[in-house]
Amino acid sequence: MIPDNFYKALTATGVGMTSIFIFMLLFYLVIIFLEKLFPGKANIDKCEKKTGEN
Amino acid sequence: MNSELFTSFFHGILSIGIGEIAMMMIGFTLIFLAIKKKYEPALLLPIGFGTLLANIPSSSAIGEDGALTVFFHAGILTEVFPLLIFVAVGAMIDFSPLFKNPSLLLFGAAAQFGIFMTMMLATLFGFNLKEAASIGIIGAADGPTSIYVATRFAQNLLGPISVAAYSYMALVPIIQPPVINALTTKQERQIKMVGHNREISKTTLILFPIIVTVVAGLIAPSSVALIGFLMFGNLIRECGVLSSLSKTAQLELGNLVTILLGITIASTMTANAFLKTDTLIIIGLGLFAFIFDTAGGVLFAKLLNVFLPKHLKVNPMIGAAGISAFPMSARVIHKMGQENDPSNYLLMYAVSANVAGQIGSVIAGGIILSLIPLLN
Repeated sequence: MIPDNFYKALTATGVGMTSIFIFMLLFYLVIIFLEKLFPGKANIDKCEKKTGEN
Repeated sequence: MNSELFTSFFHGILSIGIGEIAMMMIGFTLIFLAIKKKYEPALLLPIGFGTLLANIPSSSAIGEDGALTVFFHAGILTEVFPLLIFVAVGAMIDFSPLFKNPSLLLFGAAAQFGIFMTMMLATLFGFNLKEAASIGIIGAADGPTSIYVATRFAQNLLGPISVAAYSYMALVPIIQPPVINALTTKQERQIKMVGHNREISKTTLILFPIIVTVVAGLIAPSSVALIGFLMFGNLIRECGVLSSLSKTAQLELGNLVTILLGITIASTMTANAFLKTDTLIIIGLGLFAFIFDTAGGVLFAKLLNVFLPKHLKVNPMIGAAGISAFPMSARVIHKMGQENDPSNYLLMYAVSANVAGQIGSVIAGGIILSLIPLLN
């Protein structure tokens, strides 16, 4: 017989995995947001060089 | 009189039982594995030696006033030792490879699959939900998180869970390749990935740990200690004005607490508490957790590839690097990539996924801590 705890663990699996993915998506957005707000120096240098060459 | 004196003086030798001898053999084995095989020596050696200390009959190291018991109450039950380890780990993590390939964060989620699968399986072996969750968290491939969750939910299982977590982390190079090979074709293992090699600004590196702590804390307050201490360590590293503290956190703090953590955990590894069928089941379930973590990451990558255009396809082996065992897992994946195609350099992507796994394991720990009491 399957114990009651198994079904609780199954619920935890569904909710838990979904939550972890949501957290990771949030952190992904945080990184993208920060990258847009504070782009790295090399990006700017490359753009400037390219603009100069053009 | 002479006989009484003899018995009292040699009490240790005369009262030793088969259980204590078996535990000492386990202690010797852990020390052997740490020194000879170099399996997580920083933890397995203190645990092995602590096992000897805890199982010598009438040992003064354990018991009400025993030093190991005092350390256990002060450092483990209060959760201070695992949290201090998180500060050290946070100070060691460099998030910049992840920022260069942020989409790989998803693999840090997918590779936590083993935690939940193991939890379900553990309930079928008769463990209650909290014990099952503590066993499942071995799959986080993250020793401090395993210890932290087990301290909250199943102190009686702390010894076997810690041993299983650290042993399997050391065995990642043996566990992962066969699972990956079974789930992927040679063609898939040869996929070359397209990435970005851009510079990351200092401001981004400083703001990330702060924002992550606030966001995760607001959503899951139970995870604040876990994530907060990890990110605090990382902030010390990245802020640029505390290089001395950062080095101290990485070296002195990390080393000191590692010594105390290992030897203190061993105080729970007495014959009565450890030599049970449950211990063997936990060791077996730990292996299951690592296998399903690897499978979860690989299968998620394969699923993504169904939807991705040909030039953006992900090498499914990268999914397996989404566990927290850093940098072992990344090295294993890079090596496997080279074996399948010597011109394929997967290290950067594997490290990114591996760093994501370090975040994912802590998040998983926080979610387990929040979720299980609600279901129990």
